[in-house]
Amino acid sequence: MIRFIVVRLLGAIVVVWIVSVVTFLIFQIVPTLSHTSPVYYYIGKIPFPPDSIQMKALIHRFGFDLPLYAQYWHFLSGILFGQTITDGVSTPIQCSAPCFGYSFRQHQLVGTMMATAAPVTISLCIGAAILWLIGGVTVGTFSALNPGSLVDRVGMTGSLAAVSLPIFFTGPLLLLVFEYTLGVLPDVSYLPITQDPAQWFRSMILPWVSLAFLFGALYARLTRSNMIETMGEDYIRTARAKGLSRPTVIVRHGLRAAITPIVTIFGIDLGTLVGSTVITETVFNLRGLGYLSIQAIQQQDLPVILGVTIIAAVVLVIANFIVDILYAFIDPRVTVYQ
Amino acid sequence: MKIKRRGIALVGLLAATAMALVGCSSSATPTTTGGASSFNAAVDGIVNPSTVKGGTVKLLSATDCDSWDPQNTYYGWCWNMQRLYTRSLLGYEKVNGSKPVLAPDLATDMGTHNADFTKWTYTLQKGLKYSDGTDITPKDVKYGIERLFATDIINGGPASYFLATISHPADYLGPYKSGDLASIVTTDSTIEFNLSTSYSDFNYLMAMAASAPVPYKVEGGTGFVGADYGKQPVSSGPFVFTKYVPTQSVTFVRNKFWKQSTDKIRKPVANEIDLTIDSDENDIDSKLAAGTADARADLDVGTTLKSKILTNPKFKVNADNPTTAFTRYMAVMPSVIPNVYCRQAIFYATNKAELVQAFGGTTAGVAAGSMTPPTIAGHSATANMYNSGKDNTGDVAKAKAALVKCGQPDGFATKVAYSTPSQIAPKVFASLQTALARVGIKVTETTSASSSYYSTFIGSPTNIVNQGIGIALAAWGADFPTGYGFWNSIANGADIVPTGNTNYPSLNDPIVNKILDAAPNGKSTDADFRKLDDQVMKDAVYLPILFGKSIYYRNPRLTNVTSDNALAFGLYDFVNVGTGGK
Repeated sequence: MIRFIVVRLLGAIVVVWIVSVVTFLIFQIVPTLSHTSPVYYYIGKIPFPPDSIQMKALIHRFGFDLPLYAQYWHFLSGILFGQTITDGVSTPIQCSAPCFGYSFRQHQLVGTMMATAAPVTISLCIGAAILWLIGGVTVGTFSALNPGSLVDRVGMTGSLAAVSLPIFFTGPLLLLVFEYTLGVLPDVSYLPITQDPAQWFRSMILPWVSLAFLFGALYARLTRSNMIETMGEDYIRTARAKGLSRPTVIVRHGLRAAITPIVTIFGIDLGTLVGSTVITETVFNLRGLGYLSIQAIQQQDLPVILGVTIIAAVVLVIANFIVDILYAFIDPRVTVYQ
Repeated sequence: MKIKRRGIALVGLLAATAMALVGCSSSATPTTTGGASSFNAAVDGIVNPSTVKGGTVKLLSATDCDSWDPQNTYYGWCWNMQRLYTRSLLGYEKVNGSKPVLAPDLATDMGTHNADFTKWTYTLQKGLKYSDGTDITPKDVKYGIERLFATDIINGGPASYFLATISHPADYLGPYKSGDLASIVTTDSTIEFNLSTSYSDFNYLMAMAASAPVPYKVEGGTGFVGADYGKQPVSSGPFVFTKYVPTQSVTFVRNKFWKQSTDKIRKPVANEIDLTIDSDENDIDSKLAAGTADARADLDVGTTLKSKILTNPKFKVNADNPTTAFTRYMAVMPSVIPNVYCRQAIFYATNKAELVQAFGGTTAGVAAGSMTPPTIAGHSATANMYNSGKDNTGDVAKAKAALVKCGQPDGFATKVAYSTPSQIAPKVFASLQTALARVGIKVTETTSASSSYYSTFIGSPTNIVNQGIGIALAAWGADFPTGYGFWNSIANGADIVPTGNTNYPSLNDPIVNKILDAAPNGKSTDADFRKLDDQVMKDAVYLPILFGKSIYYRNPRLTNVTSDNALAFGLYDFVNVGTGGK
C-alpha cells in the first residue's frame, strides 16, 4: 500500500510539472502566433512602437528578453519558493510561495486574487457535490430496488430532464421562482460561512441546487445501473438467505460494491468542477475562480489566466490522487494489480 | 452577470417597443438650455442649478479605473474623475455643448509661446496647496510630466503625445533612471517647455490629467513613489482621494486646502462623492432606477434602464443622450481596391440606416455624412458627399454608375475585417454584406482578436494586402478636441508605419498632408479642416457610419448636472454635481 501511494504521488508531481511546462509554453506561443508582443498580455496595450527604447524597457522589465528556459525557471521558482516583484522604483511586493505572479491590470497579486475567489468556488462545489452525491445515489438506489415501478420511471425521467437542461436555464428559473416570485430566498451573493452560516446557506442553496441538478442526474443513472447489476449477484442472495436485514444487504453489501465507480467519478467530477464553475458563477454573480478566469480571458490578463489554469490542473491531479487512494482502500485488489 | 429571469420577457418586449419608438422619436435636441430637468437638458445646459452646499453624491461603476495615478490612466471616465482631485496648468472651463473651452487652472493664464510653437511658458498661481498643506510648485508639474517618460513603470497614460513633443534625449527613461529632464525649465513660479517640434495644440496636453503635478521626490531622500502613487494620489483639486479599496470603492472628501478663488473651472458643492464598483450591470440599473444611486460614472446605462428611459416619461425626463466626439467608420483600402470609383461604389451602396440599427439604433449613434464629429474643428452637420438618400439606405443607382466607371459593372469581391469578440460587428458585417450585394459587391468576413486587430492586422499595411482586406471596421475618438488631434494619427501620410499603423488605408494625400503639416504651427483653421475632411471623402478611404451617442441617467435630486463632452463622451461632470445638501 505504501509503495502504491508513493508511486501515485510521484506520478501526480510529474503530471503537475508537465502541465506547468505545457501551459507556460502555450502562453509563450500565443503572442508569437498572434504577432503581438507579450507585453500586451501583461498591461493590455502596446503603448509604444515595437523597436522603441520604451518598448524595450518594458520587455526588459517583464523579463521577456530572457531565454525561454530562464523565463520558465523564474515562473516555476516563484511557485516553489516565492519571489519579490519589483520595478526597481515602487515598493517591492513580497510574493510568498506559491507565487503566481502579479496582475498589472488589476494591480494585485494573482495569488491574492485566487485566494479571494477560491472560497466562493469551494463553497459552491462542496455544497453542490454533497447534494448531488446524496440525491443522485438515493434516487438511483430507490430506482434500482424498484425497477420498472413508478418510482423508477419518475426518477429516471427526472434524471433525463435534469441532464438535458443547462445551468443557464435552470439557474434563472430557480431565481425567478424562489427569489423574485415567492421571495423565500435572499439575493444570491457570497457571504463567508464564518460571518453568518445561516445566511451563507440560504444564499448558496440556489446555486447548489442548480449545479447538483445537473450532476445528480448522472449519478442517479449510474447508481441505478450499478445497483441493479450488483443486487443480481449470488452473494447478495446468499446474504439475504443468511437472514441479514434488507437495509443491511442493500447498504453494506450492495451499495458498497456499486459505489466504487461512483467514488472514482465523484473525485474526478469534483476536481474538474473547481476549474469549470464558470457558467454557474456567471449566472448567480458569484465571484469565484470561474468568474475570475472569464474576466481574465476577456481582458487577456495573462498572469491570471496562467495562475487559474495551473490551479485548476493541480486540483484535478490532487482529486485523482485522492480517488486512487480511496479506491485502494475500498478495493485493495487494485494495489496488487497495479 | 445575474440574469433576472422575471424581467427578460418584459425587457424583450420593451426593447422591441423601444426600437420602434426610437425610430420615430426625434434626435437629441435639447429642450432647455438650463434649469429644470428634461430629456437632454444636460447636453447643452445645466440641470437644476443650485448653490446649496453639502451632501454626498453616490456614483456607481462596473469596473475600477485602470489607474488613479494621473500619469497612468487612459480611460475617458477616469480622466473625468481626475477633475475631482487633480488640477493641471490648464483645464476645461466649459465641458458641455459642441465647443468645450479651455481656461487657466493652476496657471495664471493660457501661457505664452514663441512664434513657431516650440517653446511654451506658464506661470503658476501663488498660494496653491496640496491636500496635505504643502505647496504646489512648478517642479511638481515637471516631475509629473517626467514620470510619463518612465515607460517601463508608468505606461498606462497618454505618454505618446508628450514623448513626441517634449524634447528629450533618445535614451531618457524618466526621473527614476535618467534623472532630470533639461528641456523642462522651472523657476519658483514658472515652467517652460522646450519642444522637439512645433505643436500649436500644446495647451490641450497641458489640460490633460497626465500633466497634473505630483509632489517632487528627491532620489535617495524619501524616495520615488513610482507605480505606488496610484494607490493614494495626493490631491491638488477640491476633493481628496481617500479610503480606496481596489475593485470595490473609493471616497472623495473635500480638500480643505483648495480655494475657490484659485479655481475658475470647478464650483463643487457636495461634501463627499462615493464611488462603488459593482460588476453586476443589472444591479447598477436597478439602483439608478430606484434612486439609491445618483449616476453611473463609467459608461452609459444598461439595457434594462435604457428600455425604461425610452418608454417611460418619468425616467426619460432625467436622462441625456449626447452625441460624442467618436466616429465609427469603415476604412476602405486603396492598396486592395485601387480604383477610386470602385471605392465610391461602396460608399454609395452602404445602407447607413441599417448600420445604425446594427449598432443599437438612433440612441447609439446618428448617421454621419462626414468623418469629423461634433466638438472637432471642421465638423459640418450637413456635409454628405456620398448622399445615400433621404432614408440613408443607400443610392443603388449611383453605386452602379460608379462601378461602370471603375470598369467593374457587375461588381467585385473583397473582404471585410473586424475585431473579435464582438456582439455588434457580426451584425454590422451582415448588414453591409446585404447592402453591397444589391450592386454585385460580394464581401466575406475576416476577423482578428482584439489584441492584434489594430496593431498587426489592420495596423500592418503589408497584412492588409496579404489578407486582401478591402474594408475594415474601426472607430476613433480624439484625445483632445482639435482638428489636428483628430486627423493626424489617421490621415497623415508621414505617419504610416509597418505595424501599429493608425492610418489604416495608408492615405498619403498631399492636400491633407499640407493642412496637417501646417497645423502644429497654428496655420490651419477650422475651414482648412473642413477642406481636409472633404478631401478625405473625395479620396473615398474613410466611410463614416455614425457619430456615437450614449444614454446617461441622473438621479432627479442631483443639482448642477451637465455633460462632459471635452473628456468623457458626455458623462456628467461630477466635480460640480450636488445633491441639494442632502
